[in-house]
Amino acid sequence: MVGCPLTWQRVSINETIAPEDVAFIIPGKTTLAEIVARLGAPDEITSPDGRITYTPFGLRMITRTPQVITASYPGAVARYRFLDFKRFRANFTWGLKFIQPVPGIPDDFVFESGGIGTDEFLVVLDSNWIVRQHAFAKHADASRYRPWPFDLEPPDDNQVVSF
Amino acid sequence: MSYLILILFLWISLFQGCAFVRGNYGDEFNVEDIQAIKKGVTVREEVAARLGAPDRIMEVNGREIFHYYHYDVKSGTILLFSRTNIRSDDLYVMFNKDGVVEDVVFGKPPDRLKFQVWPFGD
Repeated sequence: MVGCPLTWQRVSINETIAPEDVAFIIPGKTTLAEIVARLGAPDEITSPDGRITYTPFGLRMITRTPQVITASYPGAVARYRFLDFKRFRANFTWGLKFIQPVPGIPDDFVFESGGIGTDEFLVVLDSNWIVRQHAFAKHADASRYRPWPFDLEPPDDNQVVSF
Repeated sequence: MSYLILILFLWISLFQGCAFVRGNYGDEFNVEDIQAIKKGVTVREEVAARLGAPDRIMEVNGREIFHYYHYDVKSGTILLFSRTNIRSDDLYVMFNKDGVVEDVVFGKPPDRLKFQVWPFGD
């Protein structure tokens, strides 16, 4: 890809879960088994206290040695993770590679920009594996192709943050 | 002859930036092994003997859980466009206090992970 003047690159982890995909879930009624039948197994099941081991993007690239996590609270949390990464790259002097060397002119003049949107669908279950609540943590706007890597608008100096 | 040279030139020009890459992490799940696990019958040792040591052991909701996972990666690149798809498959085996299987959580999407090149749209 470095040999091309323009590059559009995209990386997706797991398929996106849309709100209509989870419309069948009814808190107090739907079970984990019913969710698994529709959405597949979750990426993680943990205790509600949040004592879990996170690694970037849910990729648990650790040794195959079993890891023991002990946290026994009633209920559980099931997490479905999906990620979208988009990157755009433009090399404006790519054509000069064919007529090199040109003294004083760089052979690479690159604009590159992108974003990662990590999304999560979270299901809180009671001690009988019945759904208590469910929610999305979405950052869909973070993942987009941006040809211009610079800020288009000046920063707002009049922002006031009060506590 | 000139046509052949032109076609050869176009072929080399268009396909010099092509790559299809595939990788995986962990073994693929054997459905027969999973179906052999019977709720209320199979014990912890039998699960470990059939599926191997789990990637993680957790205690959630008062139950011990064996967690197995597998990742599949397919990446396609043609000229300016590149797309990489990654999918995880997870298997959870839950045990009661006596070490007997209480539940098995496994669900695999019916369609295979795709090789894709076009980075736009869904």
